Amino acid sequence: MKTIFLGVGEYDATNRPNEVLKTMALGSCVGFIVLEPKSRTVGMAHIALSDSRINPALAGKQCGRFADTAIPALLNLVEKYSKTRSGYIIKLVGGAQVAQMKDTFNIGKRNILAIKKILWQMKLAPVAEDLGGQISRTVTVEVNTGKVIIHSPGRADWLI
Amino acid sequence: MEKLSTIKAKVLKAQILRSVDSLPLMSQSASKLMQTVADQDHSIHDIIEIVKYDTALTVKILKVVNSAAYGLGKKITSVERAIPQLGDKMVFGLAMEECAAPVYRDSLEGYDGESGGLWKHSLLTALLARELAKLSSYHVSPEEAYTAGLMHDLGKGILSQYMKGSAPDLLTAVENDILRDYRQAEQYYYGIDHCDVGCSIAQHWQLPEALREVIRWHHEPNKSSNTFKPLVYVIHLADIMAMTGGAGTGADALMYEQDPRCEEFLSTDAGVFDYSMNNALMEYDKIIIAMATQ
Repeated sequence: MKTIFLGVGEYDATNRPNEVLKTMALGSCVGFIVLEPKSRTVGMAHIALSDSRINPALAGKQCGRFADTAIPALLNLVEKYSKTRSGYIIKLVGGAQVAQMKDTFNIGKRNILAIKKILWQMKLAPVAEDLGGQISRTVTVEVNTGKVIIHSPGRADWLI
Repeated sequence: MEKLSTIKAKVLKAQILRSVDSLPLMSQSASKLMQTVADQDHSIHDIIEIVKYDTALTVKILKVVNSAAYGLGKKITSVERAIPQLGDKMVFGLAMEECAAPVYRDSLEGYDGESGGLWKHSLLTALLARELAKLSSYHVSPEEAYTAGLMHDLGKGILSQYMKGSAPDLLTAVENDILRDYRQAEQYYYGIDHCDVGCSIAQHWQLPEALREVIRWHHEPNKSSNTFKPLVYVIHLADIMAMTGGAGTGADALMYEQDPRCEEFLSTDAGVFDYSMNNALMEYDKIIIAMATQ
């Protein structure tokens, strides 16, 4: 298995057998995952923040960092591999918080709301999600099986 | 996992405190750097004067500054040229990591964390605290906030060694609302929490009162003395944001509560807040990559 690591603000896609996409320790960040089963394409973006307007210059260089720029960028990349724009399976992971978190500081909640709003506007919706709560999540997406595996310290792995 | 008997808990607590006493003292250069960085009138030359007599620190600084993440092209071979590139706070951060290695480089097995995780969490908290200090409703020195961020979780490096295998049980207790947060779980099972242990390290190292208050109260900022509340609130929030930012210390990540008075101590809105948090995260990524490629 070859692992492609995605850091904060990075995104990538692949349909090469035996490859996996992996992103570490999603807290308030959200892993935006796109699967296209026919071509066995998997894609993932490690989205840090909801709105690129806070730093447009940075969004130009690192579009995977913000929800509004990462989503179209990843969809375009997945299309390059899959040669289709339909039949996408979307999954979301992350957007965590601590207990009693006030909205001003709640980046996770902002990320989730922004991503769902953008998907809604594009007439898309996630079929599975593991969002919110007080959990740090590491996510792996496998080309061979299409499995989305979540790992968190002190817990057994689970799938969505 | 059953709560330890009173006798066992007392013995364990004594052992933990003994291992704090056997920690090496802060290195002379780290201690001097801490004082110099805190002095707002210091110059970069004061920092160079301290570092150039510390060979191990010099080697470390040159490695980091010459890593690809700093992208300087031409090789830098002197501390005089390296230090202005890194900045005084980063130099102090590296000095701390070097001299408190037994604490920062603990495997964090007790938290089911990763080796080096405490250093990363402390560094991100420090960088976030520096940004948050600028948003404080009161005067908080960004320099002091940075230092406090580096130090706030020292206790975990020691406590972790006594907590091996406990993470699933402590997590279950907090997740089922039997205990309020992970710190209470430490307290319940071991009779001491990472804030208490950190406070003992602070005394052992003779850290100033402001840092001792931060270490003791960063999960309960409302209990700190009024003089230090603005600083303690900055670190309380920076610690939380470091965890949500992906640099937790293991199973305890996010298993804490935000104090309801945070908005009183930090005047900001979502846009400004996200912008500041992003700045700190970007700098963090750069340093982590630089240190990984040493």
